[in-house]
Amino acid sequence: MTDDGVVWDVAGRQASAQQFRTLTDEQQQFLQSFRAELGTGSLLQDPDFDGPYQTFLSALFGGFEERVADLGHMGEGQALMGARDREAEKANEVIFGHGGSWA
Amino acid sequence: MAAAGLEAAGFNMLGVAPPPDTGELARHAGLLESVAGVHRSVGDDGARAYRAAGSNAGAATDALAEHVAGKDGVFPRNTEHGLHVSVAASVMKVTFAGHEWAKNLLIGLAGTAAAVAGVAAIRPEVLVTIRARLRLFAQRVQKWMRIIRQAVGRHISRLAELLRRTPSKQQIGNNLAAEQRLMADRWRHTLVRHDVTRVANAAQARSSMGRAAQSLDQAGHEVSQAEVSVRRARSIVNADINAYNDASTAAYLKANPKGLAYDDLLDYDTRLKLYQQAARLEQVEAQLGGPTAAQLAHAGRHVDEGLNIARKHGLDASELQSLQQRLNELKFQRHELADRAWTARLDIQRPDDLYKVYPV
Repeated sequence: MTDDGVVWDVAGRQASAQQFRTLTDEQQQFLQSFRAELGTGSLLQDPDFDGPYQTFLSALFGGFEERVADLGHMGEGQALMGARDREAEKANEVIFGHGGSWA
Repeated sequence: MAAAGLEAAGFNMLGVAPPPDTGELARHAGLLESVAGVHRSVGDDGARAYRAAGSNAGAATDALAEHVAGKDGVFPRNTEHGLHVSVAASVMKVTFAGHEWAKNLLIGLAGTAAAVAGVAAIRPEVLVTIRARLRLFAQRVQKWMRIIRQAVGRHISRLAELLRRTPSKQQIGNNLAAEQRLMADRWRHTLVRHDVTRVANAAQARSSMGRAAQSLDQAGHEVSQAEVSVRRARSIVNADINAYNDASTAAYLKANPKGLAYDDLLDYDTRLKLYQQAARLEQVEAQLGGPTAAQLAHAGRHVDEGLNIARKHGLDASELQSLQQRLNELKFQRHELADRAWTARLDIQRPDDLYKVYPV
């Protein structure tokens, strides 16, 4: 913990990054199997229903893809911040390790 | 098969198409329910993954928290989507139930129509009436089904809109970019702090060294003056000693010089002046050994610290290196001056002679 309220937990960030990566992979696989299972045929042979339903499904797929991307970004972000934190942590030791002897 | 054939004949008589197969509808409702379940578990797992880094704090962490849990954040959007999908699954189930009911109704009507057709006792005109009534009812049921599908279609359209209306990838990208910019700023800020520390160390070292150099100049001046007096007095004493006829006494006196302040061969004023200079030299020695030495040690710590930071972070160290060189010169100068002051003082007031002659 530094004087301006910054806490670095590098191990926590790395664990978080790993969990997000796993979650992203799982979701990617689920999305693929979900798509395959739905098929492309119309459900009730009625454009009043089938049209909106196809629109709904494409919106659902779109949202799902975005979420998978989000989770991926979260993992990357945590990994990135973990790496930066490690550097910052080291740097901070230099600054604060001397107890401000010149102050 | 026979029943199916009879049904087909019945539908034919009713003048309506057989109802669509609702099996797919049921399957899709089930699939959507599983998707809603996945949304829930993503929320839980994601929150857990996010909490793993939960002991972090700071501006970058706050930005990430906003990105994740804030308005339009990753998790709230996930929950919202899951809700829409869950509603869609329920709507599909209702559609399925409605269709099943209507389908069974129609199948019943078709069966009735087929059965009635097979009853010979019914008069043709009555049969026509019955058929007309059955047809009317079948058409009405079909209309209900269409109305259900249209209503459900509208509802599903609305859900699709809600799913689409949530922030696009562009915004997520922006959020993430902002967060990473923050990280980069933070890192630059850290580097700037290193540089500030390096410069501050150099400044501290320079100021301490300046004060030390001033003390050394003054000390050098005092020591030189004392040395001149000592040399002058020593030459007077030596000339007197050389004037002795007794060579062995002269040799003895030269080998065991008295403290000049107490030497009878010097006049009173000279001795008094030497004595005063010895007192000054003592003060100079105290200054050199105390404050000046402390100033140089202080400067040395800051030079080392600054050099350490510069080396670790690849900052420019040339100024600190020249400061270090100058510091070494000053340290040497201090040692030399302290040595000279002590030597001159010893020449003036050799401790052995202290009790022998006391001026004034």
